[in-house]
Amino acid sequence: MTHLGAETALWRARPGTLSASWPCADDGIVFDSASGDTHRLDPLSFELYLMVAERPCTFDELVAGLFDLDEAWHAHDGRHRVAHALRVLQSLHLVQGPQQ
Amino acid sequence: MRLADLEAPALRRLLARGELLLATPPFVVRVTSDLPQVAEALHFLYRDFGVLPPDRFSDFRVEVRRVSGVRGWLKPQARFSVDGREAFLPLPQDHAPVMLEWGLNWCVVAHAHQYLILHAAVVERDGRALILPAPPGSGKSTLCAALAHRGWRLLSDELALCDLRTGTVSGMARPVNLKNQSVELISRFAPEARFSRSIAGTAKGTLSLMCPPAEAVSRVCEAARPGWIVLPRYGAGEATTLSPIARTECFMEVTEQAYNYNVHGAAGFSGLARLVGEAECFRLVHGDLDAAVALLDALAPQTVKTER
Amino acid sequence: MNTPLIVSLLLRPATAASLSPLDWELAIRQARAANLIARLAHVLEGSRQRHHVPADAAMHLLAADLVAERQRAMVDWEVRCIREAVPPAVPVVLLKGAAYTLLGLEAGRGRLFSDVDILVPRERLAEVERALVEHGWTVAEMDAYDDEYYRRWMHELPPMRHERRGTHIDVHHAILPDTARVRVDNAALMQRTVPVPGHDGVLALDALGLLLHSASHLFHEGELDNGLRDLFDLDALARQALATPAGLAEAGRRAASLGLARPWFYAVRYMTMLLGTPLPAHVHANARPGQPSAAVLRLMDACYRRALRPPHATCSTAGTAAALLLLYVRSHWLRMPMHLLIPHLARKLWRRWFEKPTASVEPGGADGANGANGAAKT
Repeated sequence: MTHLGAETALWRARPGTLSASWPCADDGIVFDSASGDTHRLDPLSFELYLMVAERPCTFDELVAGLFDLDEAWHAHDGRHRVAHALRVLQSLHLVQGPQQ
Repeated sequence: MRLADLEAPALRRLLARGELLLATPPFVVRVTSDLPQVAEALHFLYRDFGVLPPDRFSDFRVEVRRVSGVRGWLKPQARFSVDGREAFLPLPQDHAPVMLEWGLNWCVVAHAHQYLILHAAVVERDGRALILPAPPGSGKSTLCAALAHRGWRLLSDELALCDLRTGTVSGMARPVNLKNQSVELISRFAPEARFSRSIAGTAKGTLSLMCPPAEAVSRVCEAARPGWIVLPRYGAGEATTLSPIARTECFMEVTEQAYNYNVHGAAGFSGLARLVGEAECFRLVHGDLDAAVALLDALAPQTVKTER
Repeated sequence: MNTPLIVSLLLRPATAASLSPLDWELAIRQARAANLIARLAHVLEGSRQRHHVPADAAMHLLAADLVAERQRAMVDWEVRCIREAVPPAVPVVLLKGAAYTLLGLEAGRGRLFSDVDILVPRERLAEVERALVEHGWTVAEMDAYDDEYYRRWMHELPPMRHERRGTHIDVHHAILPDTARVRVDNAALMQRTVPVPGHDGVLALDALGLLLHSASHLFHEGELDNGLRDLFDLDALARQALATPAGLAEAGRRAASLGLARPWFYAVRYMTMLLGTPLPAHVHANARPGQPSAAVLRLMDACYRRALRPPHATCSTAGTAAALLLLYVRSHWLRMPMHLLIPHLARKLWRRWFEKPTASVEPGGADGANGANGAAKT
């Protein structure tokens, strides 16, 4: 990957997406106006979506926001899980990643 | 004027001439039929519904007519059409009353997008709606018929009309479609319930139409706020249980039972989220009607006992 | 023959103020039959007449608005998916409703349609079909005869349906089949395209191309349930073109060069006759080379006057059925050589007369309703 400016390394929520969630549960629902699709997301994916919907974030910010990075073990596992979840969210057309 | 105020011959004449305007709030339907089975069924099942003069606007025009010609003579059949366009396969003439019911439901589902329409039974108590969304075979009609005779007001056995603007739910309080075994169950459960003659040989077996309680019909324009969403599943021989479920899970299942969720786009999503958010959500597995009704009853203990 | 109420109302929306409840009911019934209900809602809105619509009728227009809006969003997404599926080197040219809508044309407002029509080069057809299948489309089920009919004699692949989304696509390689009696210069038609805003790599025919294609389609078509709607499309396209500096000055010449002089002549004639489209004299003059013999013209007038009406009992007149049958036969005659026509027509007409509705009224719940992506009827 070539060196990217901070701007282009950001993950964002797709415009036209809406979310809903309720107390007593960590999962949530996201609607995509462009495709008309509705998705139920697990807690990790939903949290990621909410974070990028609030403001664009870099990958590192997302990992830091979700996982305790003091433990190297958590850091590695966390990065892996976040990367996977972001790929899925991207394939569902709910978020867009860098270079898009 | 109510349909009961019409003498049978007068009703038959109006039907034959296509001048019967039946008020099934929020809709008005113009019905044409040359079949005595239809006149008889309407007279019995829709007695408490309003009839309007034929110069009024109607939302749908439906016709249930005998099929003429050689085929008609060999095996008497009826056809259902909407504004002259035959929409479905003809069925035996004896099925005409249920054909009319199914056809009316089809009209609403196909056109009434001012509502978010759920495939659900709905009953009401104290201004709150108990909504039972589910695919066919879930037993929701039986549950609905039972509840309608146990202190809950019938809104619908089939179509929940959700107003996305106000967040309220309403129905048409039309006759409840029940399969044969359910008719026996309900007759035992609520001896005061009244049924049309049974109709054999439909794709769903022997059916009968249950008269909506008069009070339900008179209060049909009263909408309700969402109270409970219960996803029913019929399990013969299984223990009857009512378990809370996550609203996210409930939401997704309700979208699957929403006929026109896609038509409403983002407003449908937000509106349904508000509706689900206002309701308590459960899953019901039922094999025993009394047990199921008891569990559902307990959701909203009756605060007012009405002596009738 | 009187003018159907829905046509009067669409042409003179100010008459909304004087309609009775039964008039409104009739207008809605005719509009539904003609697939024009969303157009009615749009026209009344645009001419600020919606407040004259009584509440019960207004609900039907509101429902129509929702469906039209939903279909607009659906088409936008669908075209995105199509462009992603089809290899980038293959040009994708939008036709008809999808083009009107995504180009923001007046003809696309309040338009109801059930599929997306695209045009691709003939030599890439197999590649396109493969790509679509790979991305979730399948050919709609049909018997071997019809499948062959589409591939060999028509100018399109058999209709395809997306498994998950339930949407339909018609892939054309020409605007008229190869076997047609008229030789259309498809390549020339495809040369004049415009980019579609917001959709990289997607093109549409230019304004005149859309107009001529619409005319060609309507006046070669045998199934005329949407005939009146298509005529209103032509009217909207023509009016919008007239508002540009170029106007319709080139229309006659372009039609002739493409081999479409005859349908353009009919388009000009029937737009004027039935909808009062204000076409300047030079447009009529330039279309005249496409005029048929006096006898044929008399026959076509009789047919199209009856056929370009809402397919509704209140709009039928004596001879409507005959007119429709004649135009149906004619459309097949135009598309195929005689030795194929007779057996083909025999088969088609047999099916048509004995074809019954295949849907059952018995309820099956909401399953799959959402897969239709809001292609609900209004």
